[in-house]
Amino acid sequence: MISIQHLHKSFGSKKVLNDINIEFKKGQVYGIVGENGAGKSTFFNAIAGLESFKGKIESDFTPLKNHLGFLQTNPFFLSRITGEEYLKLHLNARKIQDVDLKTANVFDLPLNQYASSYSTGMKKKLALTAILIQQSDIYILDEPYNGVDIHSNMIITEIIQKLKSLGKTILISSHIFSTLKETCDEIHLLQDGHFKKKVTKSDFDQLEQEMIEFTTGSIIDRLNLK
Amino acid sequence: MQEYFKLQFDMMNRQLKEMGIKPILGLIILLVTLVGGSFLLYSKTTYAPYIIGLIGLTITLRTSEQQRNKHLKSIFNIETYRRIRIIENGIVVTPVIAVLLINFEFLVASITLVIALLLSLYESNQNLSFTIPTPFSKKPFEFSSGFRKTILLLIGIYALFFISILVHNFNLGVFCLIILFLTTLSYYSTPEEKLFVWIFNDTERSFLSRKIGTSLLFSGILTLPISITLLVLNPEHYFVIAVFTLLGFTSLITMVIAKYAAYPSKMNIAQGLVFSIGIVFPPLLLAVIPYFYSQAKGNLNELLK
Repeated sequence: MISIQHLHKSFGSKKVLNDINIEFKKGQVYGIVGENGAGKSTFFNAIAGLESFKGKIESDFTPLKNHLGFLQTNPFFLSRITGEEYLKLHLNARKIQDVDLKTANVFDLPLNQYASSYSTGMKKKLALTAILIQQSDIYILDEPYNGVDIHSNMIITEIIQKLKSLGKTILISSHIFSTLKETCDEIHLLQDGHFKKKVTKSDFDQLEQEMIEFTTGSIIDRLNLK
Repeated sequence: MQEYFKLQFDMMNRQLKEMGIKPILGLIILLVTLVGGSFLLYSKTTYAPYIIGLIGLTITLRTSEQQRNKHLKSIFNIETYRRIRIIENGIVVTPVIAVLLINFEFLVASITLVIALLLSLYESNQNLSFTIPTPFSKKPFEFSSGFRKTILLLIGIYALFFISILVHNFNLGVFCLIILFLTTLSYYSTPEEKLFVWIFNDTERSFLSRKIGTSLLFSGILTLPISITLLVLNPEHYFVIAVFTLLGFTSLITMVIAKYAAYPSKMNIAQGLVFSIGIVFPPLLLAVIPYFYSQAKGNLNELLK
């Protein structure tokens, strides 16, 4: 469980997160949606402890970060490091041994090649593999489907479902609504610095419709395409 | 093209300012380092001009980086791109050529200049399908990444050391040892992304111990063969060899701690000065190391707590 109370985050005078209060329960999958720049990544970074903030974040795990697998939107890769070394770095960091990386390589990545030479999707898959082999209790997946091919998309969805069945708590952000519908128990809409709407499974379609209308309605008309 | 060079100049000034150095001071530091370094080299070895030329060419190679060149090609037409590369390489190698000319090394200066200009035709491929094997793969990342980035320099150092054995030049051998240690120090010069610290299940103390342990072990793999060979061939100089080897390892420990004392930023000029003074007057390290250590603990606490 993660409990967040009165979370505030500003960058200079710009308030990005404004008095967020929310609770994430064990074994549940939560979708976080919002426009670009809505503060989803900042919210995730704050939970992970990678961003300073005002407020309180509590969990069953102390310290939370040692039980957290965090997939960032744009994973960073060190130059001249192979995929295999990237995975070993993550294992060493958590003092985990006896992991057969060949077996763990579910996305069939060329682990002997430099990770920096991977495509966007391959980088995402490598970063995801790295956090999965760390065997965490809570997962934050910031746009896990971004740039990933259809087959891998399906694998990621299966992985999320498997993690859920194992009682892990998962927070996902994605701009592909259908993927969230498949995996999430709840979807939260982040807007203007706080969660404006909470939607449970039965109302996912309604939320999707609202978002489609919002996106494709008046905005595209403004382009005056001929 | 003029705009491009003006932009490069502005970028360099901004980088210096971020490091807390005024551009004019940066220029002075560069000149002092260049003149002082070449003076030191000439006093230590007869191979100084070759080493200076090699250092110049190594720095020039940085302009060949593939991503950078792709970017240039996407902006300029091919003629302008070629001109930019030639002018850039010329500018980068000029200080080294000047030092060589001051020392009447006309032949080495000419060869260095020609090679530097020819290097403007070269574009390094970062996305090699060939992965350089490294003995440091088990504990990434500083040494595995650094080893690959400096592989040519390492080969050059070992080749120079081999020459020092052939010509029975003890000073040159010690010089190789120093350069090798300096190379390993460079592996810790750039701060990594926060995530690569955050992922560790360590306290600040155990994190630093782990980093220091790995650096000592891996630098030992690179440097001890040279130290031991020097000792076997020059047992009468055991004290000098021991001093330089110990100083090398101590510098490395200081460098690792200093890196995290500045983290997540790069070391600033004040920290760089404290580090340099500590290396020049080793007894001061007794104060410098604890000073950096307390700063490093403070910086790491935020990410590791």
